[in-house]
Amino acid sequence: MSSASVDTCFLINWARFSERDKLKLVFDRLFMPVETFNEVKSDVALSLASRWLAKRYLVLAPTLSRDETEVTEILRIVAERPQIPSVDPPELYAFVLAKRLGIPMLTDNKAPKRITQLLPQYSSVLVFDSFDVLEMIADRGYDLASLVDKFMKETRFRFARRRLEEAGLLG
Amino acid sequence: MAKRKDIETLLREWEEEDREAREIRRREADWDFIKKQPPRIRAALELYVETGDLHLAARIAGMTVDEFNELRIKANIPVVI
Repeated sequence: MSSASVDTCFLINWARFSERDKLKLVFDRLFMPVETFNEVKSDVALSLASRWLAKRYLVLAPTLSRDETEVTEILRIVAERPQIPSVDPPELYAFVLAKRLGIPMLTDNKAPKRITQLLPQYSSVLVFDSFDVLEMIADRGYDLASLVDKFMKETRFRFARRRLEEAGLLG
Repeated sequence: MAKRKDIETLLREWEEEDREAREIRRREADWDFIKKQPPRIRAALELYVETGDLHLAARIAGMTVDEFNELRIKANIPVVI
């Protein structure tokens, strides 16, 4: 089991998911940069963050000056490539933290995954979204179809047809 | 930089992903709710339906991504990944 870096989108989505504690089957600790945590405002997400912070399951990580430089560089690259959805510095701090610590990043923003697919210097960063994580949980003995169905209902998510087909969830 | 052919394949895949996601958001959005919103909020929700870009939409709405996420749930707009 490994640690992971987590961004705001992922935390706020999983805060709404009743099976959120199953994340602990896959990741033993979550790191979030302080700049990213400052974006968390809703009661439901702050409530979950407080519980996880108290148990040190969620740990706030400082940002280093070299992280700032790298975030600025990535913002420049993304601005030149309209195929990559926009991404804000708070999410990129989580991305850069994942790279620096050699751990996966958890996000439901498409941009980090596309950055790793497009730019060789970031291809080593593993980026997992909620569907990837649900599949990892299912690998620990849970029914993927039930997890996916519940996640979609509780968080107002839809998963792309291709991904459902690849996971054997469409006939 | 990835090889040219790889980039073209990626771009095609992303275009198809984005098209499917946009259709789902358009179909499932609560347009009555969206049309009742003040102009700035309405513009942000419409931008989210078209792009799925939470950061940009939140910026237009003058909200954090967390606050805008609450709004997109009220507007019944799914996140599609």
